[in-house]
Amino acid sequence: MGTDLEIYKLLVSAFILVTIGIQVWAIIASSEEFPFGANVMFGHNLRLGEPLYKMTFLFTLSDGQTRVVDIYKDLGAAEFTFYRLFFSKYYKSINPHFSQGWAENDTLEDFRSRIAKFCHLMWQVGTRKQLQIDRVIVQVSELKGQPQTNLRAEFIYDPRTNDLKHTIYGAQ
Amino acid sequence: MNYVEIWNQYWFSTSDHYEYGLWRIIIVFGLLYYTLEKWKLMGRAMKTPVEFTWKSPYLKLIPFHFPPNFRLLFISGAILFTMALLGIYTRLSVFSLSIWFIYFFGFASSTGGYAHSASLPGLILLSATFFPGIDNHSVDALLGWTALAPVPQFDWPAKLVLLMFSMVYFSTGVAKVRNGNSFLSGDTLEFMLLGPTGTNFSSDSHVRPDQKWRDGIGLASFVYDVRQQRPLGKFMAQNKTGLAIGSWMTFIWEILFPLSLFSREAMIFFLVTGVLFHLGVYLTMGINFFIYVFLYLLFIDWNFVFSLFR
Repeated sequence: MGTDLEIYKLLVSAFILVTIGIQVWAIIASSEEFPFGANVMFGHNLRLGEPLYKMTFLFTLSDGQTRVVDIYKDLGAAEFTFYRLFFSKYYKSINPHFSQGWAENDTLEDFRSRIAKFCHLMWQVGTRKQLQIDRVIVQVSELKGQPQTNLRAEFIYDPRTNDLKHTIYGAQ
Repeated sequence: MNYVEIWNQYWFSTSDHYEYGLWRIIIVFGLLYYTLEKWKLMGRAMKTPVEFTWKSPYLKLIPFHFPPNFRLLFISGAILFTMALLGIYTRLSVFSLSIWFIYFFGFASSTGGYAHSASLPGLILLSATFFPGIDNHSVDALLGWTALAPVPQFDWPAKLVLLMFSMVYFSTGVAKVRNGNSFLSGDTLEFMLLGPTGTNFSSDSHVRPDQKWRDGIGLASFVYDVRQQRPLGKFMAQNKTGLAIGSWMTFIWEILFPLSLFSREAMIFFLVTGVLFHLGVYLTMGINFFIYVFLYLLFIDWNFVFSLFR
């Protein structure tokens, strides 16, 4: 019994140390990887009147028509998680405290490579759903009272050449 | 006293406040209700093409097929919830259910969101695998199937679960000042209650010119918006001083929650005010963290409550 109890205490102590240790690390590193997270949620610096931005995904189809991607119908994903996944894991934040993905020592090449990879995945899934896609376009615009926006950056991906055209328009 | 003795004295002291067989029933019942509540939402998440998922390093440790087979998950979930609730092969079923739960809600998180309200309950269920007396009030106990030698009624489970709660609230408080001072001035709350909804993105007020090379902006975050901008929230947002006071009270409560670890009176204070806090968040923003409030039930001295009726 004595030995069993010592083993039990050792196992429980190891479990407590590992669980709490990972959780402490997640808080210090401001990281969120389920099920351990820094729980930032509403801890972002936001004020009414400060500029907000939106992202728009478009497909240019083989008939030359360019249209906004319906995330659910065309790609089978939920819109709000799709945008968050794209931003957190591919676009990435410039803020090291953004808990779901920031790009440390990011370079233009790495950044474009991540965007191209995501556009390629969109093309892959869209093609599987019988869409004839010639170009995948991602636009970043400033929100100036819906639905008006000012285009600030644009990424145009050609799935045949894996080429990404990256244009910054600047403030307008 | 050396560190090992201090450690043992803290975690492995005994108490008769808690009855961990009852804890098992409360936790499993709460998580069953939570899972059923989210089932429809999860069903939609399961249809997400695997290309648009991102497995966390911890989920990679679970060697199940990804994405999950929804029908198989339903059947295994039904079996595991039943076994854990009734206490059939109790420790094994509680452990398996915790892995099931983390895998299930972990998949939802891998599609781009992060299931904040599910992570803590999942970890509590996982820790329940080791609770002393977890197989009390069970089929196992009824049939004499308890395989392990009984261990004393240590109170480490209560301390660990309270510590987990403390870390969640404390980290949320820290995050509110880590990114600037807009939360304490009430500006963030005002934005949440009155600002535009939908998936928008924001820059950082401290963004440097050399951080704008990607888009001319320096995008820093997607914007968390509230589930519903409710009339009560909109009404409250008209009073800027009230918003600042509410923000400060929230921050202080979250930062000081770990004090609940040091006395039973403090714990009762923080849990009672915690019920009011979560209720307030729900009534003004529609954000539902009632699974946390449900798990507060664990800290009621049920032996005392039952003794009142004997």
